[in-house]
Amino acid sequence: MTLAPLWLSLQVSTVATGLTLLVGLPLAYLLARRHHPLMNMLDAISNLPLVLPPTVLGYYLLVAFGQSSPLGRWLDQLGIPLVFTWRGAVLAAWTVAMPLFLQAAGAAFATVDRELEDVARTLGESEWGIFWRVTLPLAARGILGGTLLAFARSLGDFGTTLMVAGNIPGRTQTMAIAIYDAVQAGDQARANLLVGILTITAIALLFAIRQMSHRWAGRSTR
Amino acid sequence: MIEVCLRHHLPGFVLDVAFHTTAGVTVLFGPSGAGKSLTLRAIAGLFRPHAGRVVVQGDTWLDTQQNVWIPPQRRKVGYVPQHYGLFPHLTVRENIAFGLRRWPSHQRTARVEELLTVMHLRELANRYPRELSGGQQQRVALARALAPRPHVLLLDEALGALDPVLREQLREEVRQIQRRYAIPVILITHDVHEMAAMADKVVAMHHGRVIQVAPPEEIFRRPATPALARAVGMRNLLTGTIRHHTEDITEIVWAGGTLKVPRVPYPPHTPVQFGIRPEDVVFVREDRPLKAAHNVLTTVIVGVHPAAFDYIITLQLVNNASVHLYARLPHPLVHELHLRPGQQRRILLRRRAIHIFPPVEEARSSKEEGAS
Repeated sequence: MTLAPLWLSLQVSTVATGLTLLVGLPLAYLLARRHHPLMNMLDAISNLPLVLPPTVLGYYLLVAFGQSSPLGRWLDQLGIPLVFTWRGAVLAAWTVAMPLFLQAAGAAFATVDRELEDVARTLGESEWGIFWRVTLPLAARGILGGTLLAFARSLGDFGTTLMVAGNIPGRTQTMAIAIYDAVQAGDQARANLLVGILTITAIALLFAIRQMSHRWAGRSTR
Repeated sequence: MIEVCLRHHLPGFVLDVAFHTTAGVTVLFGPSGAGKSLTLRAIAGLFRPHAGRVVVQGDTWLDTQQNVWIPPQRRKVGYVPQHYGLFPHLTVRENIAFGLRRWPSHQRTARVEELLTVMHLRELANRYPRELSGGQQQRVALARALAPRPHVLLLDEALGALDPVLREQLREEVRQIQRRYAIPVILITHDVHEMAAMADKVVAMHHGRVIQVAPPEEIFRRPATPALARAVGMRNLLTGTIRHHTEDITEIVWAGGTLKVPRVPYPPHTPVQFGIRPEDVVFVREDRPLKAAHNVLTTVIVGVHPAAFDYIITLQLVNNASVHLYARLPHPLVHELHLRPGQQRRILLRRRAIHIFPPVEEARSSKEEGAS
């Protein structure tokens, strides 16, 4: 019962990170490679969540996906409402995690030597094959870092999630929200426990990122 | 037979190149910014010009008039870029096998093994590119480019970054590859020594244009422009005026005297530039009878400078101190002739070694000719 917020947080963050990879990988590649006014605009928009207050972001999502919007009503009819469900928490986490991932993955794609892709072309490799055999492996380190960052950011989101998913214990109450709740209720012991767990998880994640970048750095300079 | 004709407009740069070649090794020679790399990339299909035609061994890879454009994947080119372009995440063996993915596995293995042997890479097969020296990386890049049996091998300054001894060795290897696999090679360089060592045919380029297509001897002896002459070591570039012609000789007024040169078709009073290589400036042996009675000049030796394999002698005309000439002599001869600064010596400019550049209007039309 006490750990329900942890499991929910992990579930929400995992799904949000998966979505981030799915949408972010092709998007980061396009942003890094195609220089077009439209791309620049998309780049600016994708960075918006970094500068907007989480509550503002949450409010936008609420307006876009809530009962009062056609999109929200349509999702309701399909039986997959977003607002005030765990799916809403995923949406919130995904929105805040995406710009971090795009930055890291975009930088990784941008540093891949285009000459290597040219050589692969002359060796008969298709554009699709070049992405999988050359570009992606060479950008893997940055992409992995971005993925972990996205996961960490999802895990820690508070404001946006609260706006979109609310605070329903056992259903939408994630770790960050549960901590706030415990403090508000004066439940010091519960707050300490949750804070401890979240802190240790964050440290473990950061440690993993460092280890990984060390190993890769070692591989590329040995 | 390789046929290349390209036209492309970029801001501040026009590429307008045409040449054909049947040579074993064709060298694209010119200063940086001449459009050599762009030309090579167009042959590889990595750059698509506005207009042009590329035909290699009977296959048309590009013909903008016929709307033909074959992507690089289907062109059968072996391409080695300036910094080799090895895949850092793959071993030597994996790099070489990269272009053989669609081959049956036993054939692929056999081909990779063959190239590992031919290129002396057997011991390095499982290393990563960063664990190799420059020369080894170069050989891996060559092996990888050759593996899928390309119809042409394109090398973009691929020998430039190595030390001189290694470069010499790799030049020989590229020549051997060319003969062994009977594959035409197109190589880019701005290094005159590399051009001389490698080329069967030279395509001299400048500012996006072809200025001369010729064997290296002709590029050295009869460069199309003074700029190319400077680049290939024709250090004595002089200016005179045509005086008159006799049967097979043209007389040129220069530095207060006259020079006899092989007949050229330009009318009298035409100002012309001409050049002579320092090797063709000959010191007159005063102890022997002099056969020629013309093109003999009296000079003062200004300096005797040791160069890598010989000496450069700087000279000044006695009757016109503003004219400087360079002579180039092998070591033993400098000692035999006791050449010292300050001495007065007579020199002979061999008639056949004097090269007259076409006057400017003519130069343009001969450019067109070279490009047709």
